[in-house]
Amino acid sequence: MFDLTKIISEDAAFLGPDATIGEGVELLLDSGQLILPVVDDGRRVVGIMTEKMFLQSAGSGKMCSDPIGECMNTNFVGFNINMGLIAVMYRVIVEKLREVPVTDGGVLVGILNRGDLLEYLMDLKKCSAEMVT
Amino acid sequence: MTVAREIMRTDIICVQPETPVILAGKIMKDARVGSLVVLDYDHSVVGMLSQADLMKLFTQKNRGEEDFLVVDIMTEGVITADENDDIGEITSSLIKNHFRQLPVVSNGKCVGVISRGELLRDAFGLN
Repeated sequence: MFDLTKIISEDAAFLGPDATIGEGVELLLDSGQLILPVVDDGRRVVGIMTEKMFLQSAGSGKMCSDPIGECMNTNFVGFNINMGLIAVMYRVIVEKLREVPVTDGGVLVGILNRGDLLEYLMDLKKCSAEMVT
Repeated sequence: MTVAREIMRTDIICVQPETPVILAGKIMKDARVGSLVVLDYDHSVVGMLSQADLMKLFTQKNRGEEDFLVVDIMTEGVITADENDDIGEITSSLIKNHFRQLPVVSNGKCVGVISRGELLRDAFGLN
């Protein structure tokens, strides 16, 4: 049975809405992630920041010292930890998602990266082929 | 004005059109990148291969992906940047086209890659 926890990064980087844009950019680049979940004190995801959003904030005159909370996207796509493989694949492909926060009851448990999903699918195909032969 | 060649990466992670898709997937995984530049033998850009291209192939039933080459599934007609292009224009192009990186060319040859990471570092003055 598919278990989303097996392919997500559970040690994903995240920050709070009071963190600055400068801190966010450094964390994003250091972590190698494509998105940064923004969480409240209870680790509930309240928004996300992406590379694109940081670039747009620079273009619109935002400063490094401005808080993330002023420019984060609160209308983001998140996956529930209990989602099945078909639903995950479908949404990643159709909605062209590269990285998605994964939550349990709204609380951040990790990040799903499209590359990790692809790796899982490649391994799955390999195992299937070996079982047939 | 900052131009592409000043901030581009010159370590281009690339494949050839005849590279097997399985090998391209492994290169992508090992390098932890979301897309590969597809270069011909004269270093001209002939396409891009993305995780999305691989995902589509791997999720199709009854397809023997081991038989596919990069040229079969890559995206052709790739937008490139010239090494002298202003990075403001490149940023707009990346955002508008939903790309994460663009190959940078000089005299028709690929000389580097510029990604959102390089642009972010430059925009916020980070090294």
